[in-house]
Amino acid sequence: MFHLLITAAVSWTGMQECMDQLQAHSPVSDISVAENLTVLEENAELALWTRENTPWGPLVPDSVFLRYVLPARVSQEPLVAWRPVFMDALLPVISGSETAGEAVLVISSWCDSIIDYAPTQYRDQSPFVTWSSGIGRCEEMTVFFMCALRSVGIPCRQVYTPWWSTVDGNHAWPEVWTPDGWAYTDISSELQTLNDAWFTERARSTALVVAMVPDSLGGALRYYGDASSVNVTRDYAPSGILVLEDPDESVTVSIMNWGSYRPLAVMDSLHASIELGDGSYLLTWGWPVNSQHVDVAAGDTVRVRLAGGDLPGHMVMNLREDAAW
Amino acid sequence: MVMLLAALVLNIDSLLADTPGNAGVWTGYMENCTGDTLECCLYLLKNIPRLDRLEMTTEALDDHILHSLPFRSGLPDSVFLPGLLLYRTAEEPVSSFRGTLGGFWDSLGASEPREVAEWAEENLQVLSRRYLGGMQDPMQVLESRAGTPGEIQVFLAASLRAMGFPVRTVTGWFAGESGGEESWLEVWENGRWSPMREDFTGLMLAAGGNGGLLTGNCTETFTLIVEPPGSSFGEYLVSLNLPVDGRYLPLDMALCPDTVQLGSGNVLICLSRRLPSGAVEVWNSFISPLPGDTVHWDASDLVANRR
Repeated sequence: MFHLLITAAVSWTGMQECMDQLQAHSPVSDISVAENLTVLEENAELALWTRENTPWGPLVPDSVFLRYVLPARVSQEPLVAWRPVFMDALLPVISGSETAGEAVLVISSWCDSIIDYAPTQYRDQSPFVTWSSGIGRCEEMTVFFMCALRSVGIPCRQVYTPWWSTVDGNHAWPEVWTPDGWAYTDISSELQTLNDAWFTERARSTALVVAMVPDSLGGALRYYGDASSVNVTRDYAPSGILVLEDPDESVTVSIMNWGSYRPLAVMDSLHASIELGDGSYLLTWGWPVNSQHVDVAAGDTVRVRLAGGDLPGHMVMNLREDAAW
Repeated sequence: MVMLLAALVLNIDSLLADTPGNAGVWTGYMENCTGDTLECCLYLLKNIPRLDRLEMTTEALDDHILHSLPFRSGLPDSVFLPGLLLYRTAEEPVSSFRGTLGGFWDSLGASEPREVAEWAEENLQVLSRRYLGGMQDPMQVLESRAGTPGEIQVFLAASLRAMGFPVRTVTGWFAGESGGEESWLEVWENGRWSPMREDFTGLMLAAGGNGGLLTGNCTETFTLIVEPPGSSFGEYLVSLNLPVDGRYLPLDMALCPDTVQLGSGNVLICLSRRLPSGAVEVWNSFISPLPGDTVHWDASDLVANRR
């Protein structure tokens, strides 16, 4: 096992900082169960090793390393000791890569050779189960891909659109950090470059894209106590700004997907503006429920004063001039 | 009979083939057991989610089967198998808990569901749901003495099963200003399912762990009969939605229903279809029936009156 040889060479500088970061942003079960603490410690040792022993490791700033290379989790999957296993598998695979960007494409292709998309269950499976069973849904594929990337020191974060605007459903995928900024990718053996994936065109008309950051960030759409969701819609789609005038109410912003109004975000006095993709939105608030239909156009700032009212009996959301109905 | 046996074997073979990497746990277990133990193993194999089949261990099979069988006597199979042998309550990972939890409650001298609920109330810290991490399993809740409301419910259900009480999870969707989605446990006592909850104000739809609708067990209902626009729903979706504080809560359990029993109250019915451009055409209508009513809701009327 390659990782057993390299752990002895880990610099212990930064180990305490890593454990502090993990302790501050891990579920209670991770830090109160002895077996899990062992997993976190090994995870930190190996993450530090990649920082000093990959071509791109020294280029990664401390804050990026702590948030996007070090974490032992991506989302709700079970905590398992994935890092040593993925390291053993991936270090030989990326040995010819001189930049992180090259390595990302190699790892994307490697993941594609192991797993296929398939609907699974509501509960997230661990990256080991995805590996052994060879299937996962998009979030599970993202978890698997991100474990592979992080195991060789490539910073990455989970990104998702809660609901597509033009088709029913949603999607999750990873973004990788480069010195030039964040770039999206997905699992495929055919990718030639970053910022290219099967969903590129679909994402250009999406309503909202958020990135998950395992930390507390100012200006986040929402803080969950251990992670923040950050609005990155403008990186994917032509977007505009929706501003609530006099936001005394808590207002839910929704779009129609799978036959119902699906919430995207909640606006209030602390979140009185939001960047959204070009499209139609339903605002609802209060009790009895009030509603208002708004259109957000790319490049515009739409200021809304809540007028109240009932749902219209009939409406078309996201109607474009070229609509064929 | 021969055909039935062949179908059963084929079904098991296909399940094992769809358990890559972990089929050996199941085949090894089945080769070494007979009678009730084998029957229980087969029931689990056929009735748990795929991920559970992949995560299952010999230790967990032993824990769930061998600690359930002593309580089987006197229970109908329709209660024992899904209520006691099945271990799943929500989205917790597969784990072994019966032996240890049974011993824990024995050591406290607890033997009634009420005592378990009171202990949990006094000794478990309630945590907010966060983003990272899935649900804790029942033993992690016991070890950390803390859990989200959902994790504490998982712990309660696991404890009751370890003590020999069949349990099922019921999810309810409530309308009204304080409405939303909530779940509670029902315990099999004295030959019937008894909810560990008393207030069903605003309940519009309740569904059991096996997907069956149980609304009528908890509250008075009306009957909604949905007529599709034409001979079938085709490109159209019909959804039922509940007004709750600040938004409309989708009842995804009842998407495009033919007939459904609902608690009485205000219901938003959305008829929609996605256009080739990706836009969505929507018709919104509300109904407010009384208990005992039967409402025929015909989507054709809305579509005919477009614009």
